[in-house]
Amino acid sequence: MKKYSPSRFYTRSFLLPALTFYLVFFIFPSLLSLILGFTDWSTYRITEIHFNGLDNFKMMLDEPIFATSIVNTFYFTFVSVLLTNVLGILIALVLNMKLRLQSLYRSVFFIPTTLSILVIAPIFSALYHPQFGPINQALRAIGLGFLAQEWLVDARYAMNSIVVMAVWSSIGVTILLYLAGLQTVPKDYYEAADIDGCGFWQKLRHISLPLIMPSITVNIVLSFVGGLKVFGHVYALTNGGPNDATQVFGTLIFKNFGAGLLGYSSAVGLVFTMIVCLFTFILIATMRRLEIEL
Amino acid sequence: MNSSLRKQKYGKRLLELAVFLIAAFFIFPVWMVVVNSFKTEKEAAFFGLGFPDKWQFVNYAKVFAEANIVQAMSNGLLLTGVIGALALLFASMAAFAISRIGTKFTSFAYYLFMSGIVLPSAIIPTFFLLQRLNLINTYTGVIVVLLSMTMPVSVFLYTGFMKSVPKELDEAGIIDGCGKLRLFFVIILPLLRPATITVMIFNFMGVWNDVTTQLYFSNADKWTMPMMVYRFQGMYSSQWNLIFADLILTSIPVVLVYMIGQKYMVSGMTTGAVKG
Amino acid sequence: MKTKSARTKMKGALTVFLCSVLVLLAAACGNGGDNGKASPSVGSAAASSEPAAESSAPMDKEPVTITFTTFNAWWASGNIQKAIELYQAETGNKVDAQIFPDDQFVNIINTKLASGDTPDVFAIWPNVTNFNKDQLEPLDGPWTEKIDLERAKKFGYASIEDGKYYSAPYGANSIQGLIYNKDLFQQAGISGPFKTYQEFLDACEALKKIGVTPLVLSNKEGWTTQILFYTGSNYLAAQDPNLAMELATNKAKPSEKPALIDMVNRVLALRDKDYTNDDHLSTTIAMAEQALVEGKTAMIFGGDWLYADFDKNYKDKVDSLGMTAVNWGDDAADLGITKGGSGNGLFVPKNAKNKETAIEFIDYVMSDAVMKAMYEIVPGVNDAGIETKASSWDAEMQGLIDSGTAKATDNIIDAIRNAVPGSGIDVGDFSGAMRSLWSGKSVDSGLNEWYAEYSKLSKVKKVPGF
Repeated sequence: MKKYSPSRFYTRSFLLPALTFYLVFFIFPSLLSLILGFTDWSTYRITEIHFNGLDNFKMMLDEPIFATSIVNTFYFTFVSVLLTNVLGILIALVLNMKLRLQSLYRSVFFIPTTLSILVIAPIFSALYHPQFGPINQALRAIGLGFLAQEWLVDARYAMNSIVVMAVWSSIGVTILLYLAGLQTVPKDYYEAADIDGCGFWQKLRHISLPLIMPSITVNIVLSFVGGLKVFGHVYALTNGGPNDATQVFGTLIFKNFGAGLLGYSSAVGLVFTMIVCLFTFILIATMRRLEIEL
Repeated sequence: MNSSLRKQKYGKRLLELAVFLIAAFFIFPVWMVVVNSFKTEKEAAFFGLGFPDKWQFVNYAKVFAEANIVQAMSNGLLLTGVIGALALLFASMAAFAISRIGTKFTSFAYYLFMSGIVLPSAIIPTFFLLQRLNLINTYTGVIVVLLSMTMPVSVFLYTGFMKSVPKELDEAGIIDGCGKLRLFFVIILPLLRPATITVMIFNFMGVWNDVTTQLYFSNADKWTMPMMVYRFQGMYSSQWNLIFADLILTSIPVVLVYMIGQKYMVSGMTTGAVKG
Repeated sequence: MKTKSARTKMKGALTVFLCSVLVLLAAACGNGGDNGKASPSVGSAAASSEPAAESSAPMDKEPVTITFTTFNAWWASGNIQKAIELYQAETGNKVDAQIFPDDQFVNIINTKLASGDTPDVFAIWPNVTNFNKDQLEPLDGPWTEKIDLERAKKFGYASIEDGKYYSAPYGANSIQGLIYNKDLFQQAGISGPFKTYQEFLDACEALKKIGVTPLVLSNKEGWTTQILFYTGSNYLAAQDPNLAMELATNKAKPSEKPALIDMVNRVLALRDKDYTNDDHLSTTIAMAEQALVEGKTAMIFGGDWLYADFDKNYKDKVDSLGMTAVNWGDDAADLGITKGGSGNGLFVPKNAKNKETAIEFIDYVMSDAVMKAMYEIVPGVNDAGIETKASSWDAEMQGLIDSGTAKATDNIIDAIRNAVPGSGIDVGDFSGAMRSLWSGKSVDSGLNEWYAEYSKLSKVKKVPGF
């Protein structure tokens, strides 16, 4: 980038408003959690804040719920990233084929992403209703009634039920990004491949996938980070239940905040932040290497 | 030759049918909500996909009266309006500085903003800060927090788009005697329109649909429509016909905004995302 | 280079900053009038009902609006609504009610107290040790004379440290027991009270034979599971009198106490013998009540406050229901009936904006006439020393106590709370822990999780021993 003499026509103070708000209300609190996480701050003694060393972290390790929420968060992330991206690529591929009603389909798939999670959750509560929900009703109607479950209160299925809702709510963005990526692939490549007699899967593997790697990276990183940070999906659908079977990091922090344990939930938030940064870093490094190889 | 062409067309028809079925399957929950929102409470409890026996328009009237629709909507408009305007202004200015002043400082600022996409927001310390500033349960508190949270993506989108604005235009403006402010506001900003619309829509949706910030930092009287749905659902938990009507009312604004702006949004998003 | 460009640079930055400050100020002003007073909120339709014809608002005072907040369910039960109605009619003041979803309310009130943005009056469980009393306003209306101070300290209406009242116990004392369908009991040839565990099991077997689910649990509502365990408090105390004290001072963990484990296993046996509903996690109280009234089940565990629910929704059937006691032990002498303190209390935060009016309101609610009116809606026995309407269930249960068949006793959780007076120990989510046991968690891990939770909370609250 050519350097323009900054003081003459561009001023760094243009950065000031954005940077100020961002630093004060986003970055600074993150740094503050490095301090608050080591205190015993609670709503029971709201004005007294003392350092309590590693007590918060010891309490974390003693609590079975903490381990459960780590497992749940990662499970949710991996499964939803996998489902969203695999289904997303497939649907994007199909939509890329210039079918009729194409823009209608694009809207259809994208509409759920415009809806608030607090709107989507009641919809799925209704869908998952044990007696009258369309899912169980449909299963009974085709004779698979024995498969009907209490999707949200059975600890075996609750997490997966949330994953399905998450995929439904976010696949629109994924499809969009993949479509955009696919559209940058020059048509001549495909034509050349057709002439060589390549089938669908070969074209996919050797042309489409490698050339949309940047899209894949962006999608996977975004859905990964979003998965780790999940809160509203779980909160609105099961609130961590049944019996903490679906607790994730976001809901765990809120639960402790609600119980008044402000220092402790800061500590959980701190651990959470470190985990997110670490794993995202690993992911990006891995994707970059994949990009080069493919 | 003929048979393979026919096979291709046949395959294509099959694919079209498949996509149609998938899309229909995908969107049927929305249909369920729409159609049940016009049924009586007893009818709606069955979540049937058929048309109502009698169209109960009164459901919507009831929701309007009981679910604080007007207040929630005005809260939403206030928040999205203020934050939308400020975010647009601040982010575009920041992106301008970042892309035109290539110093280490601006690069650092850019990566700092980027890190916000990954970094979870530290809610409790933010609570601490807002408490000290007496901003708990104020519109201002919610605004500054949400504004700061929109900075990463907004700056990202604008910066990506700035790459497509040629420096020659800057030079032309300078030659014509533009000062720094005129250069930006009169010449550059109008060119950023696709990005601006994308950013506005993103931020509108983000603020309108926000859950966490409002849950922690404000009371129900300041909540936006989706949050009100949550509360309404808590109270009318088995009257699905009313709940569904509330869902529809809450979603109409967002869907409308999306419909209007979707053209710009696709180009704005992908220019930044795919190449970036 | 202090040239024109430097000055313009400053001007540019300044303009931008001024604009953003202006916008923020506009937003802040937009929120100036909003902190509590006139915001429309759910239930305000009921709260702002027009004064009745016979009222005469005092002409010398400006009508004041105070804010009141509580749980959704408590609002819906109607008694405090009635009190507010009467108050508004009598004084011309307005009460702005802000009602919150049940599972959010405790978080919300704690946050409000902490941030200083408080309502004028709020209703929650009356035990002051759940709060930091420095955030509450001491109360000393005429109603405090009628309450036994020792009892008030025991149940937390008054603080042990300074003997002052912090909550007004308007709610009825809760009696817990077994609510049963009289017709089904007759059909199966059984009758309460069940003086031994075996008697109870036999009764369940008899009910199963006539083709109904003996007992229905409504575990979708997290707080209901604990009631089964409460009704065994007397047996538990008889088996291990030191239990409450040891748990309260952290001298032992729940999973180390054989008496507790034995009690838990006796309760869980009902599930294992197939006497209960499989869909307990998706059954709400409303569904359980309906099942009881319609004869699909014969028993639900609950408290006497449920009488009001049945009275409201199934008025013609409420007489076909009764309440009785169960002994989880083997010795009939251990049959106990748990009576708690008042279930609902009114508090005034220290930071309330309209403290005087709030205190007046509370004194008004606690007056004889108003209390009687409230108890017409939700009957029961109260701690405020006022004769109020009690339900037939209260009479049944009290009859058992009076005749010596059963002993009146504290439930185990209250016992833990009160073992060390004023310790402020937090008992965590006992009901949630019990519910996870019912859902299949092993007794050991369930009890350990409960311990982890309440020891963490007690540690933060600096309870001695933790």
